[in-house]
Amino acid sequence: MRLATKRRVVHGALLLLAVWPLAHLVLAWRYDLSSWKLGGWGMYATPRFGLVGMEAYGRAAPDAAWQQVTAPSPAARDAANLFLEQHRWLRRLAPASDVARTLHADHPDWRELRLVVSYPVLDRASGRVRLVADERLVALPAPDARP
Amino acid sequence: MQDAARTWTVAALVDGDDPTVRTRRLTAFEQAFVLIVVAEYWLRAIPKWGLLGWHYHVLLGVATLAGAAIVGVAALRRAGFALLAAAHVVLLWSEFPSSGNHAYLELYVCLLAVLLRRDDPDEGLLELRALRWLAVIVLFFSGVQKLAHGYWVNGEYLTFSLGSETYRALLGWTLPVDELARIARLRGEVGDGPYRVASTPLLLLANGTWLAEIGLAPALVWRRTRALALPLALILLAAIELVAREVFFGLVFASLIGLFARRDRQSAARWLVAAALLVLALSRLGVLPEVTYY
Repeated sequence: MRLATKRRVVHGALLLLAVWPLAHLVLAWRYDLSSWKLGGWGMYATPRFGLVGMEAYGRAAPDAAWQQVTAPSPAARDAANLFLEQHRWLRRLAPASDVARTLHADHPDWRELRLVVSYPVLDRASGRVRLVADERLVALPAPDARP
Repeated sequence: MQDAARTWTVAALVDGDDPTVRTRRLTAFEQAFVLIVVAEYWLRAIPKWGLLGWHYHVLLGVATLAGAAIVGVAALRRAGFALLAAAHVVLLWSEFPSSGNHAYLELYVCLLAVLLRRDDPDEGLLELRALRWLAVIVLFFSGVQKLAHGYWVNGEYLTFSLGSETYRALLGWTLPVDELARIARLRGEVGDGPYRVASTPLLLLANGTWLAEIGLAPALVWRRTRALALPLALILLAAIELVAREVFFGLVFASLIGLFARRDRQSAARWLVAAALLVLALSRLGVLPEVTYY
């Protein structure tokens, strides 16, 4: 590779690295992405909490009552644990597709899934720790629509 | 002089070194860097040896071989860094998104070493320039993130952190005794607070930290202030590491900042790094008293 090409690669990469923290900030504001990870250099910018909890509900029709998942299968539990670990850092960007798929496998009649992830934040207005919820509605395919 | 005339661009703002020792200092920097990274692989593994997945053992082996190649055989330098970069990519992928930011920084340094020949005058200059800019970017945005998220402006972050024993031992003096006792009683649970105190020393410390990070970054770039900014940046980093104890990041970052010195400081610093890693290793192996670090 020629020197001029290498120089362009290095300078371009440095430019990207200089812009990424700004994009990281935007993602943090928009999706509550943690400042601590993903190379945005926001270590120690925000308090870090470990506790994340989740409740999952499903129903077979839009007008049916929600049923809470109280005894998930081992596969659903594993998927939920992985999702929660990712959610700790990615927050609203954490993909819930695996959890949805495993819960749907446990409850094939469900057509809608509601996931509520709760996590603590330090509220700057009050200075107190409060709970925030990330609630997601996931439409589940009918059995004949599944591959 | 010739270097400056050849590449007067924004990227070249960080230039300014003794070209006659550039290869030597880049070599010393890379050797120290590799020692840190390989030691990090091992020292993170030791406490959870029986719990590690097979893939981590493979990465440990690859990183160790790569490190030995880089330090021991000059002809294998770029291949060694390519292996180390590959190991880091796998590690970042397998642990995504929970890997620390230092892993990304280490990957960038590896990729630069793969791309550039440090013994070529032009490419050596480009490597030094890129490494210096990496330090500036990290330092500057560390401050920007603290400012933008807002937990440092009124001191909430430090107040919250004073709930931990480590922070209290080092920063407890910033609060009146009764306030410190109140914060110590809180557990960081939902409803706890307020994590807000009326303490001038704490507010000065909190705001001084992000201001210093943001201010020292351009001061390192500007040649007139570089000689002063260099020791100040190292002092700031040492102060942060006293409480944070992220020693691997601290050592890598201190090595990067040290590259702003005009002369070769890396040849001597490499031995300091090796000695620090030896102490950390002996501590983790139980030979020396236990030291908490991450």
